[in-house]
Amino acid sequence: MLHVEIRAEPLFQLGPMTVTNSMVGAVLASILVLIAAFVFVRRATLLPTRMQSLIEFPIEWTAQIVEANGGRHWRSFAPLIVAIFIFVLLANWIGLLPGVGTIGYTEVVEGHEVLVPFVRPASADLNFTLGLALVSFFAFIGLGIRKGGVMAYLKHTFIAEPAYMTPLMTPIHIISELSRLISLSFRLFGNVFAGEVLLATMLFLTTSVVFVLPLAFFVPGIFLSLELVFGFVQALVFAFLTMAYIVLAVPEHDEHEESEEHGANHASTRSTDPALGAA
Amino acid sequence: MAGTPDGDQERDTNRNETPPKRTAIPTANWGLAFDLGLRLGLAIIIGLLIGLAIDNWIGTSPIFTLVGLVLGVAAAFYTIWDVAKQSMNR
Repeated sequence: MLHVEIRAEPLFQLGPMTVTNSMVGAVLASILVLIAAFVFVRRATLLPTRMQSLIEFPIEWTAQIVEANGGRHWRSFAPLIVAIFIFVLLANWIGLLPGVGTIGYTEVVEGHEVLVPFVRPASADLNFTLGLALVSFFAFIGLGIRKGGVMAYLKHTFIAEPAYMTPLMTPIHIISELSRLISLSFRLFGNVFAGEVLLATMLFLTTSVVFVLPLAFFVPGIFLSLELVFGFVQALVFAFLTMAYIVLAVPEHDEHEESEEHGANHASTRSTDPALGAA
Repeated sequence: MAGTPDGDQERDTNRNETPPKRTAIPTANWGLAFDLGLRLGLAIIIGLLIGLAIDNWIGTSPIFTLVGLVLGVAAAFYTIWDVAKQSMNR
């Protein structure tokens, strides 16, 4: 029987904390990132090997986009954007590995036997996506404050341009800011969770309802490859939106300064690229 | 591999002719436009839910629900204006 659980299922108790299967997924994604970082930072050479290039490529690619979009202060938030992109990408793709969502223990719920998987992709849990959206939310607020000052930020957020409009504009502004947080978290959760449900349904239909061997391989295969693309696109959207919010929150300086800075950038652009790859 | 130096040269020329700030705008704006559709609906829902919560708390139904709804719709339009204004300023 097909069973879809919208919340992450608890696996065991660790002191006061309940460990859920999506937490296992998040820890797996973190371990993968840490191992990759540990191995490749230790073995990194200036002339990259084929494996090193493979690992450096997504980092360099994301960092180049941040450099192109991020304006003058791009270096202060590039690591955050790259980290978010790679972590979300792995958290999404973990759901596509064999055994994730299919290996677990059975439990009887309302008279039906249901499977509780040991691992669930972290992004298919709203707690994870909301936590990540909070990181991104506080990052753009924090960077905005750091560059412009606390008073400037508070004034911009809570006091409207003609001061008498403040009682009306402040709630509107707060609702608008809250919608960023919720749209970031719900978009990622909705897409990855829907993907998981779609895969489970297709597998159930082609194996339990109508069993034709070629179909049982072919149909879930199509959806698996689609999920591969969706996982990538959602990680990209999450990272780029964080970047776009930060870019809009960090005030730019005047044009004169910009052109001077720009001239200096040209001289150093080529020399910064290898440093990026090593990061 | 013979084409690599030419490719590099072309990339350098591009960088010299076009400032990075200009090339960058479409990507950032593309992300914001992608986000805007969802934020419009969410702003209305958030306003409505805040209104409902206040009404349940004080027992003044339906005054704050309506106020929340109107503020939510206003916030949706404000979001469009805000994103457009900030994008054009850059």
